[in-house]
Amino acid sequence: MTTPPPIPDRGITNKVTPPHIVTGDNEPVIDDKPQAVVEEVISEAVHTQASEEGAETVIETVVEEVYAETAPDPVSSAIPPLPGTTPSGQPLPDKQMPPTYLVWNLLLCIACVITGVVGLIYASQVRQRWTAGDYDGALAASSNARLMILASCVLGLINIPFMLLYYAFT
Amino acid sequence: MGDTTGLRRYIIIATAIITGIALLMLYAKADPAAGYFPRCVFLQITGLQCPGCGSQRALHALLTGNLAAAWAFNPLVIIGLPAVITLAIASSVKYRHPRFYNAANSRYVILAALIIVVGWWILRNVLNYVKIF
Repeated sequence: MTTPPPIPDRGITNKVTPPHIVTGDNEPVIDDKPQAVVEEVISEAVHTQASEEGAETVIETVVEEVYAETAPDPVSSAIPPLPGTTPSGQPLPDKQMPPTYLVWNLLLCIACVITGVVGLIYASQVRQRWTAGDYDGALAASSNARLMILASCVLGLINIPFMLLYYAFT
Repeated sequence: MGDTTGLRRYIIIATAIITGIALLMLYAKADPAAGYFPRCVFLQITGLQCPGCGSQRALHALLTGNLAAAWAFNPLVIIGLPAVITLAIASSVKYRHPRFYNAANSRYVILAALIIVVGWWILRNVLNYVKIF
């Protein structure tokens, strides 16, 4: 094949006068030959690189790999599952409704403890949030309802000495 | 393994039931109005009655068979105890009968319990000052 044309060295290109600058003669000197040579070299280099099979296949494989990493799995993306449910719509066993502690809080209400009423409010929150799909919120409300049971136990223990004092002085 | 754990479970349940019956028989003998029994903290502090005030006397009247007296002391006990027992059974068979548990813990049941308790709380304190009936 043809040997690549020699890259014009800096010395020549730097000496090229811009076409708008008029030299001593009235005729402007337009020397665009080195520029044309450079363009030719670049286009040829691009052409040879693009036609190289190795580079093309490498690029293809890289693109495929990146796509496989970012693209979703076709099997799992076929059925978009709702959070906390199986594809058939049933709640997953580990995402069941957190306990409402309704029994204990109702019992506390009957047994003269005020925290039972607060626990009932939290129990209703558990159900509401669970129905709305807010699993974490339902879990938080459930733990609050449990906290109310604990708080009433603590209140009862605190009450014992005061009760004894009450019976001692009356 | 399964048999022993089942046996242990039955023994625990039987012990709890026998202890509960014994305590209830003891409670039927003792009069909460006269003896040393815990009193409502809310009533002592605020002077207002909480929704559960009078439940001990009501339970005592219920154990001695005096339903009218129990209703007069606290109607919430007579309404609430069957509800509590039903809900406790629903919780204990949660995995065998999930639909029963779900119905017992439905939104309407919880809201009804909340409204009844809070409504009774307000009503009884109003009734103490305003004689409607």
